[in-house]
Amino acid sequence: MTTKPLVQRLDDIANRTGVPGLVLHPPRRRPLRGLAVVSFALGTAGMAMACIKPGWLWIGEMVLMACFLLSIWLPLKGPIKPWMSVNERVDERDAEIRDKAYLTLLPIILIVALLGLCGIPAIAWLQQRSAPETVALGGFGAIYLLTLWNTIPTLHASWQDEPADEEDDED
Amino acid sequence: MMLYNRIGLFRAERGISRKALAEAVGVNPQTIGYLERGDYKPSLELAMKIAAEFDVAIEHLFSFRPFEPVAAVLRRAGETA
Repeated sequence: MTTKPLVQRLDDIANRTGVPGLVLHPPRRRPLRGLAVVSFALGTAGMAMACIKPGWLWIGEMVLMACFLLSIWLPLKGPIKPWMSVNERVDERDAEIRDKAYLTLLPIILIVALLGLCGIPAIAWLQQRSAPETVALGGFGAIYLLTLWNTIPTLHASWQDEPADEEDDED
Repeated sequence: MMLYNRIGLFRAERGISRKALAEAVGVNPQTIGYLERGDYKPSLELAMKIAAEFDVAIEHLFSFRPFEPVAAVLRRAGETA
């Protein structure tokens, strides 16, 4: 029985997760409209729960974190190809879809961030929340912004263009 | 403004697949599909690359007015012959 070095064992563990395989081949991209809608809706609900009642802070946080974890898959497997991709061809149409999606996202993020900057202190003052709770609420706001960053471009891209049937590409 | 094209016609005439045309002009095959359906307007560079690939003028491939159906052109050619 051969003894593998520690580094090789760690490599084997990493390979078993399937993550290195993701960079060997181009990902099979899908609209992922349903996942984006669920992530966006539940994330918004989670943030609202955290803001509405002090007792719901941690329930809202759990919902928000779950949605954020779901939304991580959207840039990896969704319709938008990343900048400086090493194993995918990003042609002019892909770049146009990406640019329009992020141009739609940026004003939304800006407005939500401004509402949060003004709204979270106001909520904390009106509900007599403690300082640690207010700080936590601010952190949840940042997670909500990251969830929006993942979901809104995917929603825009998936609704902007209907996916072409892959069978059509055979002729 | 609507942009009409005859990419599908030229592809069929020359027996080129979408994949082959896409590789030749440096785009994804799905983009050629969207172009043919009129769901995407190409950049000038891409339009010129496609025209160069078919060795035709760009006006023979793209137009702001609908192209005459092939059947009508053939019928007229048959009548004048």
